[in-house]
Amino acid sequence: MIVLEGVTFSYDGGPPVLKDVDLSVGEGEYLGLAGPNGCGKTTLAMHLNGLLRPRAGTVTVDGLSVADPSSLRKIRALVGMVFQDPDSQIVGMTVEEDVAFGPLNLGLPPREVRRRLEESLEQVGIAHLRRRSPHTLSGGEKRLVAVAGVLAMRPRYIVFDEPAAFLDQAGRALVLGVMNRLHREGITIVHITHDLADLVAADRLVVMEAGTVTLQGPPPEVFGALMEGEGPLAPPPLARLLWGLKRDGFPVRTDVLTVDGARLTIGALLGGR
Amino acid sequence: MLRFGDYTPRDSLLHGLDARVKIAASAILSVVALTGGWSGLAALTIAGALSLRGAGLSFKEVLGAMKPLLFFAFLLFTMHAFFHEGRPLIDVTGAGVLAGLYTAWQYLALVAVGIFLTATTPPSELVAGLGRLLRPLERWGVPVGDISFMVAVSLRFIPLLLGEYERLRAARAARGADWEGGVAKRLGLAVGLVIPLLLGAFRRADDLAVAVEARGYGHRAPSSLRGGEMGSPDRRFLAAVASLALVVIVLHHALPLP
Repeated sequence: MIVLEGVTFSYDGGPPVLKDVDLSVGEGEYLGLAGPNGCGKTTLAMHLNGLLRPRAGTVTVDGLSVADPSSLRKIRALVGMVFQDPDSQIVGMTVEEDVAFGPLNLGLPPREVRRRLEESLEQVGIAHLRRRSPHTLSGGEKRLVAVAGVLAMRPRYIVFDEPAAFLDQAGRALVLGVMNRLHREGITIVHITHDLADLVAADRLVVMEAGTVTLQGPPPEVFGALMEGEGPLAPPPLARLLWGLKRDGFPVRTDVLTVDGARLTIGALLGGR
Repeated sequence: MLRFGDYTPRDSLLHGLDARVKIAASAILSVVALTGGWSGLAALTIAGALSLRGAGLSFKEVLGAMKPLLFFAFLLFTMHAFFHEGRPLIDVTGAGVLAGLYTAWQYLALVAVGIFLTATTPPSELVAGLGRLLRPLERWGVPVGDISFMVAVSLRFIPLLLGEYERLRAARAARGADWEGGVAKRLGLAVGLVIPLLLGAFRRADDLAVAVEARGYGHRAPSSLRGGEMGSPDRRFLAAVASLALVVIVLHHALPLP
């Protein structure tokens, strides 16, 4: 469990980027964190494993405080981070070397590093790329290398910052598919994006605006609340369609968020066969 | 095609050796090339030709990798041939030609040693090997681990920066920058790209610093995937190189060999 209490943060002398944020990430959860550009999502993410420390408030990971320098190494191994630009994250000359980077930093013996290397490559399905040089990979593949590098640390939580940005449809499907699989395998996922459509399957959705958490709950409820509000964030098209129909007086379900679900509820309304 | 400095993944005796051994051997062989006289160069060339197979390289490849550097060999040769012992211009002497040949040969021998080393050792291992060879310097406070990590990361970032340079260049061209024309003009345009390129590199370096911190860098000395101990092939190879060097240099200095 990651717990943030009253977290306030500002970069050197600047205005506060996070203002009194309370948030918890439960074990095994798929948490979606959404908000417009510049609302503090990435800054919040960097608090989750102690890359940034709050000016006020506390952050604890499984009971370990990020304010305690002696537990930082443990926290970094517990909470993995996949950053927005994989090119700024990948340090190895080959895929293999990059995936081994984290475990080597943990000081693990070579045999254990090799085992984790093999497992992580298998887990994200990039074993065939192992000897490739990162700059020869596609955007989606690079992102998976970054994920494998994080997995090799055996984290309990993984924070993904805009994992689907700049990817084509195939790349998106690839990366989001791997994220879902990791979640099913028991890893807690924090998925940060400005695109709510990527978060329809999240267990819980947290919306941020201007450094504060404005909404949280299951995605259908949050979308409903967003339909009422006038914030800069609009629900995904499907949710807008269903809530619009409902507002027009049609008795459609608004808790379905997939194309198939919408087809069924609209079909029923049309007196389907 | 093998270029000078390129690594080429093969299965060969030399590929399988520890990078440290290959670096040390290259250093020894360079000393032989520089101090071994004609007989030393001859021995080195013969040894090189004989070990081509052991490096998984072909004669043609090595020659091809040397080709862009032949010009400098020729330059060295002509300089010595014409200006040997400070004699006047256009006065080619036998001694001058000999000195030119000798220097050019020395140079090519060094290049060949470099080709053998880089063709059989991945850059990352080269960096790691160098780092481990320099490790004793840590006693005097030299941060060898950090330095070799920096070198490795710089190597990794070269293709990225080249890509960024191309993008910036294309963006300028799309907005009407004309890359045709004199050297001075093109140089001016290239200089204009340096600042955005540097800014990009600094931003990337910042991101990278955060990313490697997130992956546990800097808390303790990292372990290594490259097995710590040298095997017996490593020791045998090093012994062979060292004895070749010893024989050549002793013969050169003790006997009146050229």
